[in-house]
Amino acid sequence: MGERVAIILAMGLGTYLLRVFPLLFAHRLSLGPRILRWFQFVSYAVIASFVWFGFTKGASPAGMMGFRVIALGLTILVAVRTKNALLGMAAGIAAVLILARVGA
Amino acid sequence: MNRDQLSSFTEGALAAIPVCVAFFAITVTFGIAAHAAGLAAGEVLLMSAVVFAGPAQFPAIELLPLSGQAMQILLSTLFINFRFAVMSFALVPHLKRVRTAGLVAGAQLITMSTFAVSFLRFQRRSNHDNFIYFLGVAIPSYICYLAGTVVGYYFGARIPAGFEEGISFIFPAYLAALLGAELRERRSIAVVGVAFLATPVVEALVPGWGLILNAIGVATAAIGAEAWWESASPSS
Repeated sequence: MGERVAIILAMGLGTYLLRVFPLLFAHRLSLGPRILRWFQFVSYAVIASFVWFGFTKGASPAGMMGFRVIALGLTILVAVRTKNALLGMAAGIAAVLILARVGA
Repeated sequence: MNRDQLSSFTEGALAAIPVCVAFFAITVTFGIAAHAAGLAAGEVLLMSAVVFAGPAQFPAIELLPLSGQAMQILLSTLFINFRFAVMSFALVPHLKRVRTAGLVAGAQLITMSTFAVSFLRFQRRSNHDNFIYFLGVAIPSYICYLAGTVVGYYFGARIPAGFEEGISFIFPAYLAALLGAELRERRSIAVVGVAFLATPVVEALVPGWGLILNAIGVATAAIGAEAWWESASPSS
């Protein structure tokens, strides 16, 4: 087995342990309502942070950030109005493609 | 699988359509990058299969071809993927009836996206078929993830130019749309807004840890504010 394959397998094992340990060992704990509420908030906050990271990561030219702000706003607006995540996502991607083409 | 379970699995699979689109697009770009970095097809597919976490895989393909980077790759993988432990903790109350063997098998399928779709559904409606619903979301997503990796590796060079901006926007658009479609409670919406705005500040203060520290800080502040609000408001 090559060194690269061993590293990839170790990456997979470490990631898997992070996923499985809480499921196995926190399973029998009785968590109070405050703790459950905290986990709920942490989860929402993690998702929101991921939106920020993804939102800023791909916008290489400076002008693209303005397009992305508009597209993100449209994404959220359509999703809130229609209660349909797929439609919101499609609207946002279409907007960013059109704006990038128009602005280029 | 009985009729109720099949219904839950199908409901999850339908909810996974945006995840599949996002995963496919993300892993196509991953396959392209891995091919360009000189990794073998088997290594790339193995990484997608066993790690199943894009943010950890992209840095690894840059470091893998270099020698003596094993520790840095492993540590960065653990730091980047630490969020999965938080997500698993959050899923625990919703998967109480699942047998250990099921949890051991299903744990590999927890990602930001499969977690987000499942968790938001559990907030709206949580029942005995939660795990089946999760599998309905996660199994098609996993297949799309692997398929995107293969397509990107072998056919990535043929993707028309000009679509990079749209591809890179799929993931944040999908998560933002998910939050927009699912969140109704004002306090949760406030947490999302504050967390989004505070992320760059925390990331600038503690580079590489912005995601987790920001989430923990915002959630803790929100719990404190909620407790204070409830104690100050006699009617609640």
